[in-house]
Amino acid sequence: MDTVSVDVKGGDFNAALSGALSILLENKTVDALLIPQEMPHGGNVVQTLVRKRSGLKGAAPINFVMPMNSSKLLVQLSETQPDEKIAAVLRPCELRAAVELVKLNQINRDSILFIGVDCAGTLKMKEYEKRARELKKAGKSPSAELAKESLTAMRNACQACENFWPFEGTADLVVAHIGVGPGGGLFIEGTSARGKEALKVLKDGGLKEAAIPDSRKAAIEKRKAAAADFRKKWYEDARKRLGSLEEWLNEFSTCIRCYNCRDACPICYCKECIFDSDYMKPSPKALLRKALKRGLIKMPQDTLLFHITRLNHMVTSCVKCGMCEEACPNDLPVAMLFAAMAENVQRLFEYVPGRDAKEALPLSTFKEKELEEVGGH
Amino acid sequence: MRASEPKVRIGVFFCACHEEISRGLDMVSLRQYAAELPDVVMTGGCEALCTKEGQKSIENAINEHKLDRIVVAGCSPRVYEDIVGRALVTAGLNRYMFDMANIREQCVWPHRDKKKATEKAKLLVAAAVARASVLEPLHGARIGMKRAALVLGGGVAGMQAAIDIADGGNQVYLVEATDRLGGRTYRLSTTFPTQECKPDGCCIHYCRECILTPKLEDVLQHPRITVFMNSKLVDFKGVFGNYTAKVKTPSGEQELEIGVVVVATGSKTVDPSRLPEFCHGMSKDVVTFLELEEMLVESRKSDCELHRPSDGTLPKTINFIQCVGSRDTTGRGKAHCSLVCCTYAIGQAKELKRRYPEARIFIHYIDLRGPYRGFEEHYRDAREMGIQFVRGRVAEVAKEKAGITVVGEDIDTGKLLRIKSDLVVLAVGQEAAEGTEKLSGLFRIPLDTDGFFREYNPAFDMMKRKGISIIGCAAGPKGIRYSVQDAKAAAASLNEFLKSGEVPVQPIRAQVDEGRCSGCRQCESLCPAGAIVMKRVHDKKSDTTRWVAFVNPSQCVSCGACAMACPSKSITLSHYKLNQLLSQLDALT
Amino acid sequence: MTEAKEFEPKIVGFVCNWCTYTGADLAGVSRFQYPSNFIPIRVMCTGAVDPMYVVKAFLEGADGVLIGGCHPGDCHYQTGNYKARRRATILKSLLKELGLDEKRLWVRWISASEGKKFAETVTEMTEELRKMGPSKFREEWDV
Repeated sequence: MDTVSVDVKGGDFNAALSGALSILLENKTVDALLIPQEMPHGGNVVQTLVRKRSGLKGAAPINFVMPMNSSKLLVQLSETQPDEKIAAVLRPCELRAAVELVKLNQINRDSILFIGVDCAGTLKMKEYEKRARELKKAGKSPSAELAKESLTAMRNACQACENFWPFEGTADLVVAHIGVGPGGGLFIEGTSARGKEALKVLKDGGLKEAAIPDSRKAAIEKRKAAAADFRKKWYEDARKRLGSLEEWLNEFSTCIRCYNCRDACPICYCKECIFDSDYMKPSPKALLRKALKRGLIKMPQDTLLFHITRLNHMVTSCVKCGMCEEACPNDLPVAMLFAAMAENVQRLFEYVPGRDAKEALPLSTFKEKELEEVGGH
Repeated sequence: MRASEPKVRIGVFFCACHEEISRGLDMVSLRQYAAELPDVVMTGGCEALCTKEGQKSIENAINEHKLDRIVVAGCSPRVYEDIVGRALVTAGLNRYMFDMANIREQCVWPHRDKKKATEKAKLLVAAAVARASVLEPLHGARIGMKRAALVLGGGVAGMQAAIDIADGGNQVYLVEATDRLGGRTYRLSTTFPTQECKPDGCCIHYCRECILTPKLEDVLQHPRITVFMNSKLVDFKGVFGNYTAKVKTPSGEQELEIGVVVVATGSKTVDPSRLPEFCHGMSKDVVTFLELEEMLVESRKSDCELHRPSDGTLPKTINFIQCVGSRDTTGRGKAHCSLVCCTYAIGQAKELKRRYPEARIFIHYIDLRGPYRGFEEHYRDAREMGIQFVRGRVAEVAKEKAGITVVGEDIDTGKLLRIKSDLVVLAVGQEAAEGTEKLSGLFRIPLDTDGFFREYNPAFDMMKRKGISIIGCAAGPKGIRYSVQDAKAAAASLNEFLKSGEVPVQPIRAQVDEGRCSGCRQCESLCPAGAIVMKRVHDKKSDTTRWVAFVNPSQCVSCGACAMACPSKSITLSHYKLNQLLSQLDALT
Repeated sequence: MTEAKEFEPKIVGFVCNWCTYTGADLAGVSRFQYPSNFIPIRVMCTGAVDPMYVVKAFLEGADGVLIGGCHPGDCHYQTGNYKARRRATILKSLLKELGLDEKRLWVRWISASEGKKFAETVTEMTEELRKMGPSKFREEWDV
C-alpha cells in the first residue's frame, strides 16, 4: 500500500505532520525541509528552510494564510547538479505553479521532493494577522483554532478554487486531510517512485499503512461544486466591472505601476522584465515629441499595455493563486481580471496548468490542424 | 539622468522613378514634411535612384552632409534593397543603415487620389525615418571550418561521398554499423540495367563483387579516409564547421573533430511479418526479393540452380507480388511508393525465366513504375519472354495442404485468381533505417511523415546552414544510380565549403543577451530551424551556473519567432528589434 | 455645400515579407485600387508578430490592425503562421473579455500572388471599420 496514516494526538495535526516529516530529515532521505512555520512574533506564517529537527517546533504545514507563492522559493533553491536534497511542503496552487516552472526550465524537478498538502483555503493577510494575534494572546494555536471553523472570510481566489488538492502524479508525497482531518486524521501517500521510497522510510520510522477513506472524495466533490458556484459569480462580476474600456479605466485608475503583482506572481519568471528594460523607457526627446503630438501624455505611460502584456505572457499558465491581488497596494482586482482571462484562454487549448509536467505549454507548441477559423476565408 | 543621445543624421531621398512616382504625389509638400521630421538633416531627389547617377547622388550627399543613415522613398524594398545597401557601402557606411518607404507599389500605384496618396506617403516616410533612426550597423561573420567530414553509412552512397570528399583534399571518417561496406548492394546478385548473369555460372563482371570491389578498394586504400566498422554515432555537438562527433567503436569511444556531415544511413526493408496475409515466415517458399537475391548468390557457388527452400525441387510456377508494405493504406506498412521494386522484380523474373524457360512466372502489380532510363525495354523484354503481368491486388498467399496458393484478381479481365505456386517472391518496400529517429534528434533535422529525413527545403537548406547533407535512401527510397548521384552532388557542394575553410554567417540573425536570458527554452521550442540550443554559463559574481539560450549563427533563418516568443526580449532578431518596430508605430499614429 | 467629414479609419498592418507584403506590391503593380487608410509594417514572418505590437498599435490610436501572412502550410519558415494563429487567438480572447472590440483585429492569409485579394481585404476592412467608428483609445489619455 502506498499510504500511511499519521497519528494526531490532542488535535495537534501540525505537530503530528512535522513529526512525521522530520523522519525524512533524521534518516537523511532529504538534507533540508522547506516547511511553513508560525512566526514567533506578530501573526503570519512563512516558509522556513529547516535542517535540524529542533527547527521544527513552530512548524505549521497546514495553515490558513499565504504570504507568497512558495514555488518562487523553489526557483531560488533549484540547482542543476544539487549536492543536497530538499523536500518542499507546498499548497496545491504552489505545486501547480511549480509544475509550470519546471516546464519553463526554472526548477529542476529532480532536485526537489515535492510534498503537496490539501488546502482548506486562506484568509487575507490582515485578517489572519488580527485573528492569529488574538488567538496567540489567548494561548491558542492559530492553525488549530482556524481549522475548526468553516472559513467564510477566505480570499476570493480560495473560494473560487476548484483544484484544492494536489493533482495526481505531480507531487512525490501527498498529505491528504480533506474530508478526514486534519484534527481527525492525516494520510500521506507516495505518488511517484521517489515518493514511494520516502514513504518506505516513513513506514520504517513507525507510521502505519492505512487506506485513505472514501469520505475524502465526497468532500472534494462537495467543495468543488461550491467553488464552481462562487467562480461563476466571481467571473460575472469580473465581466461587469472590467468588460469595457471605460470600466477597466475606472477600476485601474489607481494602478501606480509598482509591479507588485508581477513580482508576486510565480509565473512571471523573467530575469529582467521587459517593462524594466530600456525598451520601455523612451528618451526624454521621444516623450516630449509624443506629448507635442497628442497635447498631453500620461506619465508613466503604458499602464493598460503592462497588464495586457503580462496577460499575454503568463495567462496560459496562471494557476489562479491570487497572490497578485494580495500584493497590490491599492487593492486592484488583478486576480479577478487574470483568473477570468485565464479561464477563457486555458479552455481554448483545453489546458490546465500544473496538471501534468509532460503536457507542453500552449505557447511552446502548435498544431498544423487547429484554429482553422483564424484567417477568415 | 540620461546622457544625450549621439546625434543621428538622416538624409531622405525621393525617387521620382521617371515621374511614375512624382506625378502621383504632391512632392513639394512631401519633401517639406520630410525635412521637418526629427533627425532629418537634408532631403534630396532624383529621377531614378536605381541608376548610376542616382546612386552617385546618394553617395555625394552622404559625404557632403555627413549622414550616418538614410531613407529612400521610392519603390518596394523587395526590388531594390540590395542596391541601396551597396551604395551605402561605397559611401563608407554599413550596408544596413537605411530604411525604405514604399511610395510606389504601395502608395502611388494603388491610390489614384493624389491628396490621399500624399497623406499616406507622409506617414510611410515618417515611419521609415523613425525606424532608420534606431537602426544599428550589422556585421556578418566568418567561422573557421575544420577540413574533415563525417560520413555515416558505408553503402554505395556513403562510399561515393567519402571518395569524392577525400579526393577534394579533405579528411573523411566513414562510420559503418555492420562489419562490411557495400550496404544493401552487397546482398544483390546483379544490378539493373546489367542484369545478365549466365546460367552456367560464368562470371561476366556484372555481379556485386565486380561492381563493388573497385569502390571498396578506393575507400579502404585512400590515404584520407579512415573507416570505422561496427561503429555508431552516439553524440554530436557544435556548430557548422566545428562539430564534435562521438563514435562508439569496438575498441572504445572516439571523438572526431569535423566540419561537415554526410548522412548515408540508407533504409531498411519492411518486415513482411507485419502483413501476415502474405505468409512470410509461415511457408519456406515465400521469400522477399532480398532473400531471393541471396539464394541466387548462393546458387552460383554450387550448381547455379535455384532450389525451392522447402523440398529442393526446381520451381515451375513463380509468383512475384509487388507493393508488399508500400502504398499501404491499412497502416501496417508504409504509405509511400518505394520506387525500385517494379524494376528489380522484372529483373528477377527475367533471370528466372532465362534459367527455366518452361516455368510460369507471374508478376502481380497495382501500377508499374519505372523511373529509370531503360525501363521500357526492360519491361517489353520481360513480356516477350512470356512473363505474365497481372494487374490486381493479391488478397493473400494461402497455405493449403497442396502447397501455397496465391489468391488475387486480374482487374483487366475481371477474374478472381487462384494460382498454385512453387515460389512466391515479395517485393517488400523500403522504410527508414533503424536509429533514424535518434539521428534526427542528434542533428536536429526533422523527419517527414514517412519517417525519412525531410528532403531539401529551400528555406532551410540543411546543407548550406548546417553542413549536414542527407543522401541516398536515408532521404527516401531510391535505387543505386540516384543514390550515387546524390552522393556526388553533396560531395561537390560540401567540398566548396571545406575548401574555403570558412562558414559565412549572415548579419540578420537572432542573438541572445546572456545576462538577461532566464533559460526558459520557449525560443528553443519554437525555432523552426533547430538553431537554438541551451548552454550553461557561469556567473562569476554569484558563483552560480545557469542555462541560457545559444543560437547557432549559420543555422538561424531569421524568422523572428524566438524574438516574438521571448517575454523579456533577451533574444532578439537584429534589424527587427522591439524598439525598431515600436518606433514605426510611434510615427504612424 | 459643406462636405460631411467622413470618418477615415487608420489601419496598421503587420505583413510578412514573403507573402502579404509581396502581395501588396503585386496589387500596386496591377494598379488594383484600395483605400489609403492602410499603412504596412513589414515583418519577416507573422510568427514574429508579438501580440504586444498589436496592442501598442491599438493603444497608439489605430482603429484596426491586420496581421497578414502566408497560408497555413505555406509559411516560408514552415511554421510561423501556426504560432501567429495561437497568439492571435489568445489576444482576441483577451480583447473580447476586456470589451476592447476584438473585431478590430483581423488575421488574413494573403499569398504573394494574391494582389487582388489584398486590395479586396483592405477595402473590406476599411468599410467595416468605418461602420464601427473610431477606436475608443483615441479619446482616452489615461490608458
